[in-house]
Amino acid sequence: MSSVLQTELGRLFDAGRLREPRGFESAAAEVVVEPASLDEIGELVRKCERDRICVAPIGACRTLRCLRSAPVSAGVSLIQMAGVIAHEPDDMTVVVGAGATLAALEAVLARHGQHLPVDPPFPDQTTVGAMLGAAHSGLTRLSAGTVRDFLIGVQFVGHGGKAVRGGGRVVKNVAGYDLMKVMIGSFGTLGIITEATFKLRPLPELYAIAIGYHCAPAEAFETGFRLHDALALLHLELLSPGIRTPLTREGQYLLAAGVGGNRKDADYQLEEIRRLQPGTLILEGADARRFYRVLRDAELPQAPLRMQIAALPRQLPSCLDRPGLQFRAHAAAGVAQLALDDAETAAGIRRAAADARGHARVLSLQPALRGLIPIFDQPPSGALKLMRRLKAAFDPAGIFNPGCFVGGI
Amino acid sequence: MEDGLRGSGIDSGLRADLEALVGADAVVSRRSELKVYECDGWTIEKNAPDLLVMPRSTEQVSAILRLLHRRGVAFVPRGAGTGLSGGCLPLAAPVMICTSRMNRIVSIDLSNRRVEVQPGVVNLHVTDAVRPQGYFYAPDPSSQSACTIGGNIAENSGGPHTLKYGVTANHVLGVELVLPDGEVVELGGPAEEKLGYDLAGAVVGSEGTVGIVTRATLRLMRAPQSYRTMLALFDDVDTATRAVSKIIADGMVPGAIEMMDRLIIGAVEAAFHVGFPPGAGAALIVELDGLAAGLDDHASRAAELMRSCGARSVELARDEAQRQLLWKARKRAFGAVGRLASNYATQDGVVPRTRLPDILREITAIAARYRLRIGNVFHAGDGNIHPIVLYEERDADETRRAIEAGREILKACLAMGGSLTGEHGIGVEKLAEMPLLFSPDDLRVMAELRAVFDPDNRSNPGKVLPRPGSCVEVSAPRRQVPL
Amino acid sequence: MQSNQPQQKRGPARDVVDYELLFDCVHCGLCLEACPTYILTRAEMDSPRGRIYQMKALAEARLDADADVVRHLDFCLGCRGCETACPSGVRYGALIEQTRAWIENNYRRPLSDRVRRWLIGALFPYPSRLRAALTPLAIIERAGLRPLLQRAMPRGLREWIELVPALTGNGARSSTAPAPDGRGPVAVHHGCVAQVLADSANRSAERLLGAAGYKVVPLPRTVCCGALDLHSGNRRRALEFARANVRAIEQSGAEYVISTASGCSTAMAEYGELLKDDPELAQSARDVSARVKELSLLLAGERQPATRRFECVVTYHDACHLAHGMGIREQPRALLRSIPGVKLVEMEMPDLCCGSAGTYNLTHPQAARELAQRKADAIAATGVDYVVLANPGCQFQIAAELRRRGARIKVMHLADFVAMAVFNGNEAKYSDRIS
Repeated sequence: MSSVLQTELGRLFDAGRLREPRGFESAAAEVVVEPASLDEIGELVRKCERDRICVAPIGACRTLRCLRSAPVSAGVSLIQMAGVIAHEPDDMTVVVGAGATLAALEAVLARHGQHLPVDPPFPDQTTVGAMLGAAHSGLTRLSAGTVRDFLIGVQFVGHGGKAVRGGGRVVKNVAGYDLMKVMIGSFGTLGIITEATFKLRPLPELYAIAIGYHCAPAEAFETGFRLHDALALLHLELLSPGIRTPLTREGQYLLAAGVGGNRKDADYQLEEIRRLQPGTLILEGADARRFYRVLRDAELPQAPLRMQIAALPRQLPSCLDRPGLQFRAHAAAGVAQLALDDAETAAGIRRAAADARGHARVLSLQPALRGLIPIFDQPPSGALKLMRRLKAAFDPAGIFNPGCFVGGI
Repeated sequence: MEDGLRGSGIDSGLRADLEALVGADAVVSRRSELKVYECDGWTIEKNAPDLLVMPRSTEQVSAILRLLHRRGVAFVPRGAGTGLSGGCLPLAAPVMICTSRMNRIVSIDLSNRRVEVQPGVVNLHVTDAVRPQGYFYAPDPSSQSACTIGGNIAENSGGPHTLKYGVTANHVLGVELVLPDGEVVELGGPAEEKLGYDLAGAVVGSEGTVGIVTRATLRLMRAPQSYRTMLALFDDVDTATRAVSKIIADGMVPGAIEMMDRLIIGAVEAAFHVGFPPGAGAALIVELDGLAAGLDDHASRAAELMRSCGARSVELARDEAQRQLLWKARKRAFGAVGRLASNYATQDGVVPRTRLPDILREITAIAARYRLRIGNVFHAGDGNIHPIVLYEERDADETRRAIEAGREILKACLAMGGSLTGEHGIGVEKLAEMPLLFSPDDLRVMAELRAVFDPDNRSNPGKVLPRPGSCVEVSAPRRQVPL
Repeated sequence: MQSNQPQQKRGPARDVVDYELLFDCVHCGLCLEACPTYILTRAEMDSPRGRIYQMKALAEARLDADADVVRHLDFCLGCRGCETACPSGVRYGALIEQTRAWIENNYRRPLSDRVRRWLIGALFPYPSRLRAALTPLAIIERAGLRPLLQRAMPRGLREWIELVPALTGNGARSSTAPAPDGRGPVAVHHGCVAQVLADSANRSAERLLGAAGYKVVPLPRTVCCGALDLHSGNRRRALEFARANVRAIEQSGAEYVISTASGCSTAMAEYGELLKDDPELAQSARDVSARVKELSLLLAGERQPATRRFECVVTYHDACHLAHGMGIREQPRALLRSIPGVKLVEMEMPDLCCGSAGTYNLTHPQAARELAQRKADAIAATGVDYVVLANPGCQFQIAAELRRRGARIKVMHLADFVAMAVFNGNEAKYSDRIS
């Protein structure tokens, strides 16, 4: 199959645009295409539609290989479309190719004291397209929001191979339907995102982290909520003892509150934190920035199954109330990632999240567990019906990463 | 009368059926009464509905829409009718469904910072309900004392403080939507992550074309500990714009940065005697909010930056009363301008912030070319301009020139990489300009998205997207209090 | 900027209102939530914006004065809350008055309507007639049978009677000798209904002014201020009343004129506008209007008579015409706060009409009652001992509603409340005593 497909696609592309999947890419795609233009992607899509070839953007393949039980025929890597197309420092906007990694983008922006305050783990491996497609976010979602709050324009290649734009390049814009919202978190099922325009924020003047240790998660959460209510925290991370960082203490839950602003803002907040959480450890300057990266990339321990749950923030503790559960939580945002041993526990967690008006999603799982536990929760039937209609409207041939999204979309 | 029947399926039977569903006091069918519903804040085009229904519950909305679905009748949703682009003008919709009576705050959950409201709840009433506990609902359009959450969701409303806090789309987590066939669906929810496609996000800003939102889950925010509000005066808008860029580049994110130009300053001073010196070419209202501890330092830094850019004077509001006075001057600037001419038309365009001096120069040139007076009061922080074109609606030639000038301004915005609307919506007003901003493929995909919700095109038909090949002619500009 | 030669302006087809005033409205809708009737029905026809739209349509003959239009225009309380909310300075009060006058001349009301309006118009502006009409009730009250009577009445009538405060003793003469060399001079316009039903406020005001060092002069030949007629469209008689009052006030030599009824104050403050085309009295009317003040203004600052300490919690209700018509909100509150021991707390929407609105509670009892209930809810939520206000109509309306629910909150006129503090008076002497 793979070689037949390669031959077929080879007629469309230069030899340099096609390659074999590398490493774990093979779990996600049979052939990898590296198009360099909208036209090439358009050609590819039209070909796929004609011949019913499944296609999906792969990014670094970390999400796709979990989603898919079988690889798509053609994986699209946008490594050739990874440039910063326009950075307007004074307007604080940037247009960037979807293949760019967040690390590359960050490097360009930081030169002007700016950043895109969406910080999923491993920015050197996460592409802009992957961040949008999988709605990745990170710890600063508490204060800054998620990518949905910063994406002001999007371009994607949809059915018929046509390039489509939504939004624009200005920070405030309500012209037309919000295609940005539709594409974020669509997991490659509606088209191939090729370009994104973001609004940016200035880097904070100062940044410090206040770390506290707690014996039990309930107590850690309570302290965290108190801090969140009293202050303007940049982030509030809670790591269970099994998530190893250089500052982890044996058997203790680590609560890391980020503060920013000017000197007085920071001092006031650190003082308040010390008052509300005796024994707080403060990191500032380079130490704080170093530990921020540790927090951002903190990995769950190896486990058969990893999940992310979202719930009403105050109900999150009850979802995680299981002895020995290893998790990292964006505590006040009501989002947590968990390491689990089996499908049964996962099902229990899923029920708990639903009770807390939220839901759960599998982030990774051992092959043996595939099929035993659905990747996504089932949306309510009315919503799912609309989602199916949306899929049918945007992907009438059913070629964009089919069969692995909610409700089997 | 001009409010003739455009759709089909209206007969006395429909009225009786609707009355059976919602009660006679919730159906309006007399022409003299329907007349007041013939336009919203955009008064140029007028068309009264044939029937008005004022449901009180989701069940009633659903029953109404099922009935209309069976009969193939189109409808237009309406909130408080404060929209500025004709969003609730019935184009080809005989039945208007007004949600003003669905004005209950369903639940308040302060610990999770969520509030659930019916669509007819007035924007400001959400904040009023949680202010004593130190919370607020962030989007604050100038009509916030009257406009409804349902209308805000339809138009994705903004306001002065969206610079820091974002627009409606950033604060709506979930909606209960009644589809045009009457089915009730739950989209999104109170959790921060989405399950499946972000359909709630697609509903926000859809201008009433996807059904009727009957409940919304909104995010509340903690009220800032303190505010510092400054008034800075400049010789011209160029230097004022440079100051805006300087402040933002410095790492501060002010709650709001609002600008007024010479004409507006003069009008405001004449009407309210705020104390603006004569001859100032531009005034900035800069509001910083946040933790009390560092706010003075931020404020003095912002003042210093503005002075370094050539501000003639920078004055800090001494107390809450002075702060309120500044905001009153800003928010009532339109009223003040209304006193200079019997009509005015407000445009709503966006340019990249650094192009503000260019677009303002362009507006001055357009004003001269069309022999009109145009004032500017706008959200400088996000490049959202509101040129106010003064005219006399009973002078046909001047009216025509005012319309033309407005269109030229919008085209100039687009030429600078901007947009047609920052917060008023497309409605009927800017339909004709949509193809200048979006390609046929963009518009086709948007139409496909719309059809997901409304395959029969019965929910506010004729809005947002121009019908291919058609061109809506707008006959005169509007007069209104914008933003 | 180059000016254009405007073409011939299109004029209105009918002389309903001052047509140019209609163009101040930009249809923004900011008035909606400030309008009590919109709050009740949430229908555009019952909003200020919707009414202006109807007026314009009437003027342009796009709409005829039918029962629906008249119903919606009648439904307006005339509170002018919309004027406070309006950013464009629309003079709604003037517009609705003019429209109502036009309706009275161009629309034939049903018989029952005409009878009721005639009765109100023939009775209320004339204190002697009103006293005579209330005599039976006064006799019953003196016999101690009023509660019995009220219970025996059908509901609609009972609610009307409940609005009438205690009639006995209310006209007690307790005037103070005016300070002979005092400042001023000040005259208190006693009003029409007020002098029958709320005379204690007039007396208290006179005593307070005397104590503050003003010379209080009488106003012997004044009549009803005309507000009642203006609001119901009887412009002709309103003009007659206005002329009589202008002459009387001019003759009195008063430098300041006050009324304890805010609607009357506003009406008199607008005589200048009302009589601007009067060949004889235009100038005098302007002078008189300029002399109209609010009691709290005259008692402010150094002139304020010394008060005793008076421990209580108070909320202040803004009478519509005082707040929206004359823009007086802060002075009465300042006066209250200046009394040692008084703690002033604010209710929700203190300037939303209580439903009294002249004779509105007689013509639209149901809407008036709903507004009274909202007002009583807002007051009850504050937990105060007293509601203080500066208009007898509001006083009757709010007191009746609070009595109905058995609340122990006292409703007092500002003049009476301050007099009680200044003269260490007995509350019973001033407040509404039916409970």
